[in-house]
Amino acid sequence: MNKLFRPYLTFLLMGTLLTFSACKDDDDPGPDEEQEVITAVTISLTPTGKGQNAEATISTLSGTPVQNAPLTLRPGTEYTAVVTMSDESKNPVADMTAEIRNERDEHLLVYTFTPDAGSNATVNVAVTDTDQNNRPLGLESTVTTGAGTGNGKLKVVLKHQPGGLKTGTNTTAGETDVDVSFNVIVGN
Amino acid sequence: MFRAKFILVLLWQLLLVAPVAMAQEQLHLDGEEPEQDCGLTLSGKVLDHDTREPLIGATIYIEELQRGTLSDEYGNYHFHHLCRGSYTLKVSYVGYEPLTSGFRMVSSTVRNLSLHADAQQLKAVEITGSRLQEQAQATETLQGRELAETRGLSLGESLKKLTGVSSVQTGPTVSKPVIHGLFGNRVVIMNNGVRHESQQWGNEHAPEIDPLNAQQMRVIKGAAGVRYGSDAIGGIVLVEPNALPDSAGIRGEIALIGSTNNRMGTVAGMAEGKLRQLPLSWRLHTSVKKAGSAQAPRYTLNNTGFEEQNLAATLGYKRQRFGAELYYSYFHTKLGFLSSAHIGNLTDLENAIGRERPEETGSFTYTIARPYQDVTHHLLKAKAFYQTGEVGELQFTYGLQQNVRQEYDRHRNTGDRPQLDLDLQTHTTELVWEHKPIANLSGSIGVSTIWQNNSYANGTRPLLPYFINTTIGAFASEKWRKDNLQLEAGIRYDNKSLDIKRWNRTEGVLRPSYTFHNFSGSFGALYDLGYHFTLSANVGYASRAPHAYELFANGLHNSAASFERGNPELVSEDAVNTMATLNYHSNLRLNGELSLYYNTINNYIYLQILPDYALGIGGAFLQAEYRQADARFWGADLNFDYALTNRLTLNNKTSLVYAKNRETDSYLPFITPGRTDNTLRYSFENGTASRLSDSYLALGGLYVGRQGRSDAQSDPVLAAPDAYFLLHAEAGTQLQFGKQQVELGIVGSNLLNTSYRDYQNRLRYFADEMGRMIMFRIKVPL
Repeated sequence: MNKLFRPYLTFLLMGTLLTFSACKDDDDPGPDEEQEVITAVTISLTPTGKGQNAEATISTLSGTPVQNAPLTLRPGTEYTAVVTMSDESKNPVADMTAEIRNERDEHLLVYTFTPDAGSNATVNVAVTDTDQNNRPLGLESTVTTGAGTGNGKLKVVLKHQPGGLKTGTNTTAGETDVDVSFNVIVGN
Repeated sequence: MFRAKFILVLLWQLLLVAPVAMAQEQLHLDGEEPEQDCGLTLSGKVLDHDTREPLIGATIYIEELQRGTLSDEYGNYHFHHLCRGSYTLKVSYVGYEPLTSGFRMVSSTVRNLSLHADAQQLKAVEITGSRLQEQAQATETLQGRELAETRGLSLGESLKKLTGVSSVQTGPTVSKPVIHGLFGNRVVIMNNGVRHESQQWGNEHAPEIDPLNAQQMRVIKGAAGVRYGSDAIGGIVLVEPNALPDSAGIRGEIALIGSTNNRMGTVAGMAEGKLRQLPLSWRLHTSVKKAGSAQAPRYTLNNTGFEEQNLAATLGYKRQRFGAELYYSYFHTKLGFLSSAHIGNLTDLENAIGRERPEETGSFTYTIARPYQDVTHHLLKAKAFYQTGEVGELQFTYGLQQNVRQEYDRHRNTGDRPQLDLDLQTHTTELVWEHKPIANLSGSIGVSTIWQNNSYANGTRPLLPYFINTTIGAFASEKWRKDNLQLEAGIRYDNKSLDIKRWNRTEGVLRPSYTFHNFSGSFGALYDLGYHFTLSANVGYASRAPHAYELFANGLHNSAASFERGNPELVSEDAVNTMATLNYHSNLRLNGELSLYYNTINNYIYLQILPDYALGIGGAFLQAEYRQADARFWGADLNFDYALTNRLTLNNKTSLVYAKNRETDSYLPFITPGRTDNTLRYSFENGTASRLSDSYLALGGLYVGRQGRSDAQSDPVLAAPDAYFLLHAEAGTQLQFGKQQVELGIVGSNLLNTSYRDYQNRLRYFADEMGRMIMFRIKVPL
């Protein structure tokens, strides 16, 4: 019994080994299509009165954030601003703005303008859109420039504030989804 | 400063326990006759009745005193500090008829005890472990009562009971064993004889092993690459289930474990048996665990619940010369992560650190929300042995493992898909021939292979590339033993080839490949310095090839706001570990072990946080890159028992680890701070008429120092947290209801509900550790 059994077992063990080794996975890894990432942020400004529109996009498709052109504004002007976000890694480019708007009770855009050293420029941003709870969202806003001219940076931060974290005034709560700074020129 | 605090706490602990100790001593003395003229010695030899040859390792037991000893290399045994009186001596030895003899002790006596060979038993004599210590390298074993006290905890948390072992944690649910400051890829875990292969590179990836199925867990400390493969620079954890039953019949066991705090409930069941007609034995083991959010003293740790399902089945066939075993185990866990630890960028990290309590605390729930992990591990093992005549035994082991790790981020609107979905398949084989002693020499030689394939689901994060790892190794290890001296030496060679496939946006699929040659070696000596001392020393060499993650990691770590990058230029790291251990044993009052070690690691691979930030659409992130440097680890482990009375014992476990980057003379991050655990245990005297047996009560304190060897370079984000002290208590007993036995136990940890943070918990930036927890267990053998 023993002598008969032994070779069978050896075969069995070797057999399993071969079978398992044979199913080698020859697949290649595909492109890393991370779901729903924001790779680009665009801000478009339309003057409420007469004047030129302004628009700039920051894209991180190459790895680091790159702004296509400075955002050129005129002093003492009021603009209606709209922010759009997209995923440029998809073909065609996917719009992410609608998604943020759908979950507007969990999102907040925060704007901060910092003039460069020696610059007299001032930029004021007032959020105009709201969520279901009547709290600010920030995809739409009114941008007003002061009389001074110069350069500066407009920081746009998108906060994700789920689970009741959103109060509308707390700008540090939650997780940061987007944090980009636009180069701004205020001049005639 | 550290030392002063340390002493203070020790003093405090003594103060705390002294009154209890004294009260108990009083109690104890009342019940016994006063000790007088208690300086008598009983000694002699244990001999074979016919040949008069000494019997080594025979057990001699004085029933009345519940004291036992083993005969030494010459068959000598001795008991000191005996009082006058009548005693019963029980002597036993494998292959011999046990001897019971009563005698009266009036003065110090020499008694030779001769045993008769047991004709029936002698056929199957197995004389393997006659020594108290088997190998020169320091080992620690968790079993029996100590193991029972850890029932309900994870593998990593259980092993913390051992001196020199700590854990790296990610919140309250994930715990990985750390040996002498080293962990992850540097600690090899052998699960039931198969090298556990999972995504062990990740600090937040706990070993996928059910500790409830283990009968014993053994830790070999220091470089130990010879037997189980290179990589084991830090050491080896051996998780061993019970041996299959060798007597016919069916038996079973049911265990229930429950705890306060996270309201964990565990049910474990075991059934095993052996057929009467055939030499076939079997066992089934299963356990189910569920826990809700853990509670820190001041708030709920949101989303830290977990659940776990385990199944293990074994079938064994055993003849005298041949045997085979088939084993399958299934492990599945789903565990939640502290939601507030998932953050966007550096600003968020600063905000989180600045908060007194985590942003989201919520209330207790069993629901597990994002972010969470879902991990499944299958292990299939086939093992066979064949006795090659009288000279040795041939063993073949094959293991198939599949590890599927899915991680769900705290993202919005991602449907049901995981963001990380890794699939690792591993085949291991091992052929070992163990030979019986030939002129004082015993040992084993063997070959082993590992074939491994890693892939990830399309569309998920390519944190780790596709890879195929093929490793072939061969080893030989011999032990020479004569008189008081044992010498051991071993050597191993591993050839590892790593074929990587990774996708690059501009170049498509890249296929870098590597070949590593790794040698391991060890040399050790064990010397018996008379009756009570054993001195051992060991030099181990192990070399570890870099893991595919260390070479090609590429991804964002959301709990550290850091972007981790591999380094394709890494080479193997190698370690020379020198260790000396002094063991003081078989004494009346004081028994213990002290080990000192010094570990030099060249090309030590570590993750260095870089000074410049990475910018992305989400703002600034820390950047961390794998680097290599020559490092040095050194430290000491002390473990002793001091019997204050026959029933009251003080146990101390202290371990110290130091580490340094030898190239820059700077500190290394994430090294275990010094710790000491002191426990006072009282064992009750349960009379034979009592329904209770093995009852005990213990109270202890764990002190963990602040990691003083930490600065802005090693921990740039947040300085090391303060030292902490935790009070714990344990109690247990065996109840007898007629014929039914029931084992009961209760373990309380962090009894003072102390708020503290641990240096080796990755979530220490965000939240406190768990508060008070009381765990109850009941085990019913059927």
